[in-house]
Amino acid sequence: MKKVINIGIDLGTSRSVVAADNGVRTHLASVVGYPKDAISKKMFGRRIVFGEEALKNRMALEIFRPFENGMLKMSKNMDEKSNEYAKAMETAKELLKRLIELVLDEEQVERKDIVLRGVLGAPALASRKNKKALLDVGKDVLEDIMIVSEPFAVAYGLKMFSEALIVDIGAGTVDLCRMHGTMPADEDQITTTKAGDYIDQVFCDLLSKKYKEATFTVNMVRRIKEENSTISKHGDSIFVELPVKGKPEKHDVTEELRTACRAIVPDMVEGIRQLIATFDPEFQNDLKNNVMLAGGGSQIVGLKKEIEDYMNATLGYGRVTKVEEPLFAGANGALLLCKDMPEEYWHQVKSKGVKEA
Amino acid sequence: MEKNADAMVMESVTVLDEMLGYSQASLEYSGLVLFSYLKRGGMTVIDPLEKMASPVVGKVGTIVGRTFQGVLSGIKKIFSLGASTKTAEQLDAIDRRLTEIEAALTAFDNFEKRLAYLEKHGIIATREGGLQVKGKKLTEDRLMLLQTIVKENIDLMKSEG
Repeated sequence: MKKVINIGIDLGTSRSVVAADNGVRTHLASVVGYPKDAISKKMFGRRIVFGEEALKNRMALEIFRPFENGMLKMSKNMDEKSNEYAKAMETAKELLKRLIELVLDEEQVERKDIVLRGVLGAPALASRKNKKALLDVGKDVLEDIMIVSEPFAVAYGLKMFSEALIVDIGAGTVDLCRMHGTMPADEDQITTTKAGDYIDQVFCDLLSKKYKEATFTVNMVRRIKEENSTISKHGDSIFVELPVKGKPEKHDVTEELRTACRAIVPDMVEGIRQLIATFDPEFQNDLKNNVMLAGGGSQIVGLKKEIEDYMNATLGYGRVTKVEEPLFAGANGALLLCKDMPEEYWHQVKSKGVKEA
Repeated sequence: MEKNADAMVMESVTVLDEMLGYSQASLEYSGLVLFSYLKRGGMTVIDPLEKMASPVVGKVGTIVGRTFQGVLSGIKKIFSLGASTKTAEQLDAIDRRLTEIEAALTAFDNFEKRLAYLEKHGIIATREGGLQVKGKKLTEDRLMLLQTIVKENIDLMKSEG
């Protein structure tokens, strides 16, 4: 007798999240590290190091990030036989395997007696090639797999199938998607690449300009952002320690962080405006009333108010709500979808997809 | 933050409660399936009368069983007046078997009812041979939405990339 475990998976540029119906809900930095030499291999005692541990020990590791702009790292014209493509596929597979290991850690049942079913969230406008590549990655790790658009998974989890606008702010992309009772088509979705990573880059540039003698990396800047991100004009000043000629010194980064966080807002609110303005006029007010913020970026202090102010100014009205669990919203929705999917539908995908592929 | 923590605790309690409920139902289901196998194994020994009775399970089966038992009981009484001890023993054996069949048919009837009850409450057998908690009944609209996702995925898998 085999046990079926349903898993919702959100493979993100910066962080990958899983939620399973055996109770496991966890996340991992989307980083894979391979020991550089025999000494580091001995130090770690294993072939691959993942997540935060890999970041912490990156000096001893060769670091790979399989995702870029929310998608598997591959260029449009990349040859499938190239080393770069093979490496992206391999690291993505290893990362997914690790996430599945975390799901199975608490299981008493042997792996051979388990059927793993997963729904994978992909960026709204990921290319067909990229989605196919993600499916291929998943097929080797899970028995059954399907892929859905990430903001749709968020909407499904919130049970908001109509008259809602989902804004999923990740590290690589901001995905906007309007729901109107059917599967969102391409014209219902907008993806911008000015997201979390863009904030880090702007923040880095601003700090470099202001504090020429201070030394820091993107990772340090990202940590500062994650702990203090704000666009609110109110609140305390933000001071951080950055090394200057080796000596840690306090630096005021309030204005730079605020400016960097605000850098993603114009594209995002323009996307919101576009999706509302091109919607059926009869239902535009419902859409304005239901703008849902999800993803790690939704935790930026003051963002909700900033978007509402913009909507009031340009669209006459706007009500924005932050989802309860921004980090898990995509994985939770994918899990719900996975559980709702009837048994015969899984068989359809498996038989038709494999047989005729 | 506190509200989130409360909500998470409540959610965990609900999930745990549901898990316990489903686990109990799964155990019960497994027990019934095992019982069914044992019973069926035993019943094959009770030829040919069982073969006569088994197609008409449940109430009809019970009535048939009782009718046979009544008839045999009458025959036994008639024969026992002047029959040999051996014949009387054989009739007793048939009588006992009929009682067993009746008990088995009643149990089977109860088993079917119990199975239907469990399935009604969300425990189903999967094609892989496992047990699964059946998802809630979905509306036609939701099923159509899910079917669209299935179609997209099949198209994607078939595509060359």
